[in-house]
Amino acid sequence: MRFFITLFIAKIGYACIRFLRLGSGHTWPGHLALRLYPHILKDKRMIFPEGIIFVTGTNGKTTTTKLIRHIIEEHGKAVVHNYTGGNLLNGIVSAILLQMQWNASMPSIAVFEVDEFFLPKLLHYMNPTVVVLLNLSRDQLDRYGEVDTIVERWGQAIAPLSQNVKIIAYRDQQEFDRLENVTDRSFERFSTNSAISEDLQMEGSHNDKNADAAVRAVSHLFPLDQKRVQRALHSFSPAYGRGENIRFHEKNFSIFLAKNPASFMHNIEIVQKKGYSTIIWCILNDRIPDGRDVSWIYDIETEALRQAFSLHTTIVLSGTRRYDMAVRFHYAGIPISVSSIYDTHEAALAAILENSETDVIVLPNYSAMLEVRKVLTGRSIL
Amino acid sequence: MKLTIGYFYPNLLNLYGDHGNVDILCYRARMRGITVEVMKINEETVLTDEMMKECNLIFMGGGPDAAQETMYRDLIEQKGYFLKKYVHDGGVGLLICGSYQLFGQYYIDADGKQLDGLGIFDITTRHFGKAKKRCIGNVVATLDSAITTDPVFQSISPSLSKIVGFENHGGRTYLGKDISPFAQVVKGYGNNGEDRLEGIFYNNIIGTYFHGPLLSKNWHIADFLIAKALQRDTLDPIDDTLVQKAFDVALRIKK
Repeated sequence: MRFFITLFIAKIGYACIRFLRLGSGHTWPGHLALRLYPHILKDKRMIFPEGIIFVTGTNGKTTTTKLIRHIIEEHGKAVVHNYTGGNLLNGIVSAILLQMQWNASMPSIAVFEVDEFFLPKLLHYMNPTVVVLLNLSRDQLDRYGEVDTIVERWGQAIAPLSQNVKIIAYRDQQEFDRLENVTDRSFERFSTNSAISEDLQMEGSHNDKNADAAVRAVSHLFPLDQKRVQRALHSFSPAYGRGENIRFHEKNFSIFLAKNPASFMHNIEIVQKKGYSTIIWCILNDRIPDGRDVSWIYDIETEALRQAFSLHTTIVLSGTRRYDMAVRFHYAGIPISVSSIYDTHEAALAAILENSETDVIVLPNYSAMLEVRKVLTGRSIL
Repeated sequence: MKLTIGYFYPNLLNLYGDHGNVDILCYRARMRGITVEVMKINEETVLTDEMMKECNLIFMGGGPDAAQETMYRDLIEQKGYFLKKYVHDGGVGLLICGSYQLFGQYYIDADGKQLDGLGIFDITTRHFGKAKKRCIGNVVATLDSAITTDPVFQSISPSLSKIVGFENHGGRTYLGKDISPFAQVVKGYGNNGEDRLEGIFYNNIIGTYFHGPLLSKNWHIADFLIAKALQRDTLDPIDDTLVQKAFDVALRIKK
């Protein structure tokens, strides 16, 4: 009874938030539900008989879970997925309740992207079939502490898991070797699979790895049909802000999330393949979801940064910490003048629209990505 | 005229982009036509008096606790002797966060365990664990008179006496009686959130909790260090329009 009341209130609450335009409201239903029924995830109705996949790591969670979902749907199955990116408890509970029918029936598979700090706690509430450890690097140090802190937490959380839980981890991350020792388990290690990469239509070597992880993860839930997997890889379009293309006033804006040194470096790889006339719009914020400390921009390799950016004719900057980014470019030997720095995204966009060049690469960090998407499409997420 | 930066533990002590300070020193020195060499000194490096004689500026960054343990033994037992001598001989240097702490008398960690420091500075540091929250946020401070009355600093920066940055530390540092702080806190915690002091300035060494990195917007401190290292009265100005604008904006950041 309590379950159904909670479900009802969560769904009604969400409808009200949307109707009254109080915001995107994607994590509110979960927040409400947890107030009413704190252990809702342990309710007997919270089962996914065909399996649950968790995906965690510093970069690639959103893209990899979207791809996993895409592969599963290509096989004709439905899946619960926290596609709006809410990867803490509120977001995951929200996703489940909103994707559940009023009679509590729902898809029998779930895939969740899980915040790397939150993973240990979630493992207390849910029993996944597969856990994917994508990678670990510095991100939001003022919130997470150093990478070692996360590795230690993961070790303590993974060690007691049943041997039936499959752990899939990136092959070339040394910390994952250590984790195998500490947890006394053998992980399935993923890297790049050339057959998968050939079918994948997305840019960036990091996405080749994400794709290998995705295919492996789904293969543990049910037997895969090679043709369907190929079709899924071929037809997969990037998640919001992760290589997403938006057409605006006859210009093509490609948004590549650049929220920490590792993801910035992945995007440098992409920038280097573009012509020098392509406009680069870099947006750096220091809001709570971004981490308040922007010193990480000095962990982006100076030489790689210089080689990728210094010959581009037009670089535009906005965001709360635009001046810090400008100074970082300056000290990397990239010519930047005060006139390239705009106090609002709208002002930066106006300047870009006056330029005759049609291709724009946007490199925002997290909250900046939501903001620039809103400016270009009228919506933050979907 | 050559600037040789002795960069200690670059692999282990490079949290929060602190190594950017070395990049910035190199950039600013080269803009004046000064040759720069960075001498990386790790745990494996066998340091000698000759090598230290070549250095005219030393730098050590901050690090997470784990890394600090690894290099701690090497610092105390091997490198410490050279560093003590360097500081007492008036060598110029910049120490950030963890390294600044370890040049002091001792550090008491969150579990109450005491780690002896190099004993070069009359300071002590204590991590109060969960009892006190971490000192995190944007910071603004006013440079201590020990720096602002230095004729070299006055020539480089006659009117700018503030510094801006970001702090993130659990350890809280307390200065002894006769040691100058680096600055007085205007906004933020500083050394301990109590006495409104930030960092230290001892002989020609600056110790500070400022990340950012420190020298990214505080061009006047970068130039001060370079000039002192080369024993020059001043440095030719360079175009700092962008950096100065970034500094002004940073002064107004809400905590």
